[in-house]
Amino acid sequence: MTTPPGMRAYRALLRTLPPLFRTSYASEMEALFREVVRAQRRRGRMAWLAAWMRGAVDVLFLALRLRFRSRSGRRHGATGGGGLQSAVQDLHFSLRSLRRRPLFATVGVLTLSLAIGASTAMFSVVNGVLLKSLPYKEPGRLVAVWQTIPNRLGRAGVEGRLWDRARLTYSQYRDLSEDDRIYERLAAYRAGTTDIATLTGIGWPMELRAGAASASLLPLLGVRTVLGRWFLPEEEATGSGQGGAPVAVISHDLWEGPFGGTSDVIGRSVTLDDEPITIIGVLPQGFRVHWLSASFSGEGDPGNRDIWFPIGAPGWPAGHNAYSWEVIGRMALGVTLDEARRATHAVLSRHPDTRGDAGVYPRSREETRGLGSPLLLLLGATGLLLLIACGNIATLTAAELRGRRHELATRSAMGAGAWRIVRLLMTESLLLGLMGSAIGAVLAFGGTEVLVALAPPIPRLGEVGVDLRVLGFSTLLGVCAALIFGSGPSFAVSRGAVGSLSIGAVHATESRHRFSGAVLGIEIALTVVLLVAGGLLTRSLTRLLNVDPGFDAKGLATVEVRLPFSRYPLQDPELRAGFFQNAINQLEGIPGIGSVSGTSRLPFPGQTSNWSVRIPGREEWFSPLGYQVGPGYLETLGVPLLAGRALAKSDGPDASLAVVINETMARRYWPGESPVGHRLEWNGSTDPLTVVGVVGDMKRQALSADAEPAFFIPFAQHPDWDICFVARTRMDPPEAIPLMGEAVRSVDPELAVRNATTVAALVEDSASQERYRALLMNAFGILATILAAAGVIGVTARSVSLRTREMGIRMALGAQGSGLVKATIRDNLRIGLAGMAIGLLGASWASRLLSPFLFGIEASDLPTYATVILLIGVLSLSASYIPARRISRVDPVDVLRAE
Amino acid sequence: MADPDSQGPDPSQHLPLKTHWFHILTALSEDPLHGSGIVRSVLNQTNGGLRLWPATLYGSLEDLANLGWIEELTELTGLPEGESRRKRIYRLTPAGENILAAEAGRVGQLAQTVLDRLTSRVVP
Repeated sequence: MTTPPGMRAYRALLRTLPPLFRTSYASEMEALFREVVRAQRRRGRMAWLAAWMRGAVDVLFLALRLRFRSRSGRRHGATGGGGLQSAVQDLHFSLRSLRRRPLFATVGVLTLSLAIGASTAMFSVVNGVLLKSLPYKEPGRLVAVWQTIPNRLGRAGVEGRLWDRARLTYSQYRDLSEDDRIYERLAAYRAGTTDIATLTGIGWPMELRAGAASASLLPLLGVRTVLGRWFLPEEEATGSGQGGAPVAVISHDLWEGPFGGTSDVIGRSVTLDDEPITIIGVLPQGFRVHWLSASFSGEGDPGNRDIWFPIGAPGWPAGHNAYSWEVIGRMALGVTLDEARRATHAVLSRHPDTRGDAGVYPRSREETRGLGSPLLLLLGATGLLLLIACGNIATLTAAELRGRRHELATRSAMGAGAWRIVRLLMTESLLLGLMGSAIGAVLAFGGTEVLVALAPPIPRLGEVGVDLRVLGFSTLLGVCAALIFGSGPSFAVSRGAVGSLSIGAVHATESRHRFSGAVLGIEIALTVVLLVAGGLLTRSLTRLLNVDPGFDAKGLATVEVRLPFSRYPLQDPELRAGFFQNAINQLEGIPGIGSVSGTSRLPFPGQTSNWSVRIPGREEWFSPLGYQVGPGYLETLGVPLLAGRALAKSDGPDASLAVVINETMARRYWPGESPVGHRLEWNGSTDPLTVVGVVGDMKRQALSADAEPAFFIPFAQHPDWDICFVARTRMDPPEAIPLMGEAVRSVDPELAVRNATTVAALVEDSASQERYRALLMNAFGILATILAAAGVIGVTARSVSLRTREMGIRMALGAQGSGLVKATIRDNLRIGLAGMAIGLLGASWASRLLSPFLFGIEASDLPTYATVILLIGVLSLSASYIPARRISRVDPVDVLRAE
Repeated sequence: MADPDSQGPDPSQHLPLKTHWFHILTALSEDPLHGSGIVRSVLNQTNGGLRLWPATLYGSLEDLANLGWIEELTELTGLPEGESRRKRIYRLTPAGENILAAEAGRVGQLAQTVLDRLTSRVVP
């Protein structure tokens, strides 16, 4: 029987007991606790958690009692005054004592709750995205199956990049699934971010995110439909990839929305892309399968699809030789990853579609590839925040205790044992920790929602939530932090407290002052690290957003449509070209609109199609990016023409095939000569293309990426089904967007318009990951600054009020008030400088971790460091000046009279 | 707390007994019990009002054994070593019976006093 984590933690907790006691009773206590927990678990997770917490407190109290008793020499009657009564008494006393010192209590609780809230929220995100297992049955055995594709000459793939995660062809998938020794089950699916099905006949035409999947997908994942059924194997395509049944399974959201959430949706016939389709099932809420290829190319994919078709359903053929299927496998029991890879390679290598090697990776790791380190970095940042909060608790408590020496000494003189005093102080810390945790938990709920709402579309974000494990973690964190950092000083004080009323206080004050100084210095150092990290990411983001994309994104509005195959068939390119021209005419009729054109794909978000081209007479094939564009497209975007001429209306279907290429392509394929007038073979047509012009490079997909070779052919000569219309508007672009949508729909009212937005927004969205990181890191940096400032102010204020007597005497002896203020500030400044120095060292080390996320600046960016130094300098000056000023107002006469 | 005089004839210095101690001794007054048996018995006799958590229980058991009011049964029955480690069985010693009786008497007297006062007030 394996030990559940709760029991393991309890066992660890038992180690706090004295060894002698532990050897006698630990195993029995564990067995007893196991019984209790088992009984509570049946009553739900909350009861289980409560039982666990209660058990933990139980052990900790006994540990303290036993350890303290053995230390204080087994004095008679020193059983610690255990029992509920005195605990309640302690609680009352602590509450009263905290209420008497509202500043301390407020700063302590707020400090803790902010840090706990931030780290818990961040931990929830990390937990949901990275740690939680996939929401499928036995996710540990799920793998993603890929193949590598080297390029045609056997060298690395497209434009020098090896495709190490290429999808499989349907026929490869069929071959693989014949052998059930390695994979218990295999499933194939296609759900690209551009896979859209248009639903008509229910209100407005609606674009649905669609996917096609094999009948094995749901059984493989261990998921059931909530209504109706999933596809049967006989509804899937045959080996040729055709002949799937015209059926579909819809998502829970779609069912509850447009279909009204009634059960008569099963068997209902709807029109999708002009095909009659029967709905046979409804998926459970939140069902998602991530299209991994999307996240590999830097696009976000939330993973949920509105509708699923069987492979081979009308409009979803598994094209011959099309590398379009992602394959997910459930390894048979006892099969290792390596065995699976080797067996997969053996099967694939016999297949004619295979050109490279097989790749088999754990599915869970594939889903969050590339996300781990940025998220963990942010979690680390919240860890620093938590440390700062702990430092605050420690210094605040230490400062408080110095002020309470008299009270504690009096208690001790009146017969309270050392244990009793420590227990009082610990109850206070515990109370502080609990209150901090409670408020922190509330903040965590809100904070998690904010983090999710701000986040760029990353996989599994929908699974993020504050769950009980997270909450338990945060509570434990808060209580432990408060207990350890709040009680550490109290142990020190309690030893000194016994017997010493005021003699020797000066000496103790000195050493404790050094302690607070050290802790504050560390806090400042940690703050410096966070501020530098935030500053670097911000500067990097600014640099990124200032990168010239190669076109002028301001004032551009766009709407996108997809023409359905059924009404715009392959063999009638004139239909598509006609639609394009009519739509352009309508768009040009909008008052206040400037130049209008269209393209198959905009450079942002940057879906691609790589087409193969070859220069006649040369052997090598290239795969530049290909775009079909209308006349005036490049001019509308503001891309400069560098040589030759632009594409024009005269480049019609009957004219000779013309192409405009970008600078990178010109330089790479025709180094040292002008490409204008040269010919180009293209696998999309039998006739060669003639290069008529060269234009400037445009960035694609990411501003940080280098320009890739690209070419533009006239839309009229090779019309696509996907069209993005763009317009440079004289009005505010957002105002133009709805008008543009109407204009396009007036040509074909059955079309759904999507991605209606400004091009500037598309460009900005490409930096959403960077923005998220910078935003969070800065938020944490600011929080850290506030906490550290609170720490400095709190400690200075306390030490000033404690030194009032000393100051009064000094002033009576002739010292200047302003000189004393200066001395206090000088003390703090020294701490600030030391902290800053350590912090800068730490930051220069930590920023190396950041360097993969930086663009256009060095990790040792001077302006960032200078700003942080200035900020911290001002901060430590002002944080000490405010309380220190009080010194100059001390009236020596009052002080001496008080003596 | 292994002071030899704590087992002396005058148990009154320990009265009133701590609540936990009282309930544990009461639980053991019927039969010798092991840890979880004591927990269950205390739950029963307090109608579920008092649950002894493991650390509290074994902390108290050690205190009571040190006072000489309870003793472990394992050595006496000569169970094999491994067995005895797993389940310690406790029973009341004569000293424990005395102290429990003294406490019961004290509580009983107190209860009687209360009842007397209440009835004498209600009747007239």
